[in-house]
Amino acid sequence: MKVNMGSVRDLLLALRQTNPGVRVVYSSSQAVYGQPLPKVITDDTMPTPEGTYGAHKFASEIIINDMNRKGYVDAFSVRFPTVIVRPGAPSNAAPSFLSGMFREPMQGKECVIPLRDRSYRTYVCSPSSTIENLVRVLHLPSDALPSHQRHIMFPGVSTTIQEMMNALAKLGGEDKLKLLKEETNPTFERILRSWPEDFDPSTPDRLGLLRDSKVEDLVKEYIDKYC
Amino acid sequence: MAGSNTIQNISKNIIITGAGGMIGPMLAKRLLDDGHKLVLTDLVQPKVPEGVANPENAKCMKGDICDPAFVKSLLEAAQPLDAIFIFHGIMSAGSEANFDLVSFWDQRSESLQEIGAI
Repeated sequence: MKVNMGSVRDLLLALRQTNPGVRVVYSSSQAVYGQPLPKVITDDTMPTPEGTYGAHKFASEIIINDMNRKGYVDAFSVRFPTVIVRPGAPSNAAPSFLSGMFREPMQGKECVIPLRDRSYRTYVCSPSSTIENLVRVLHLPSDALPSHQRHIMFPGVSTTIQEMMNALAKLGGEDKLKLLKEETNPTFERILRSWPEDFDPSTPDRLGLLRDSKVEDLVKEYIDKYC
Repeated sequence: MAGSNTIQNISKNIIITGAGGMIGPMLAKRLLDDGHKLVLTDLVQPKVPEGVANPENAKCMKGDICDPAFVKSLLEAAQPLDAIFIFHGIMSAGSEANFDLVSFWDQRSESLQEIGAI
């Protein structure tokens, strides 16, 4: 709480003093959503976070909405999908496999997928679209959204484990699939199943944000850059 | 499309917190290539991305964003400030495991991997 809420609040209050009305781009997350969720989430879907991380992100969003309405800052909160493929070492977080299932086999290493359900659907976006969209939000006119409602769900693609495996086989080679192990981790599975599957992209489209078209492109971006 | 080329070509003073994470360095590279001036901050010493157009336009400040004195020095270093990307934070597993998170420093040993962009 001290870091993810307290420091954000204190930083915003300091900005109000030193640079009132300054452009703020706050990194929120799709973790603000929890069940029950519709198959496709729209702007009308109320966040009901099921984890501390998402709860504190949502709380910070509300503070930002109010400070924006008051004119203390000129802010947007951007809710990130899971950004893949992340370079670097695997972490022990539940969604880590969404990057690991490409990154590890491409290095000849095994990756564990923590649930046995290839129809499991999740929402992801590429590092390149994320960076492009952050720059676009930096320059977005303040009145692009209502003054008390400043969140933007960053656009991505809804995909399944099967589709991601197909992309790995196609771009990395069929042999890479042997390095994927499907082993149920009940704790991770509970977290993963609380998350969104798909979003209505009409608001980010209206705001002129870039949207990835298919998961294969995300895998290609990683292989081209790092392999 | 948001913003015109004219607006985007004006050099801005921008802070990125959590600049040592995944997204921070990628964004820093893009913004430096676009001609902006940056202050990069994180708990670990941030680095200016390699191969950028104007590396001299980035200042790196290592410090604890929970410390008001550090926040003051950070904001002073970036004046006149145009924009700030707030990317710092403990990621989901660390947040769930430690509700209070007394400070960054207490988390350092176990979750450096977790501190960063999102």
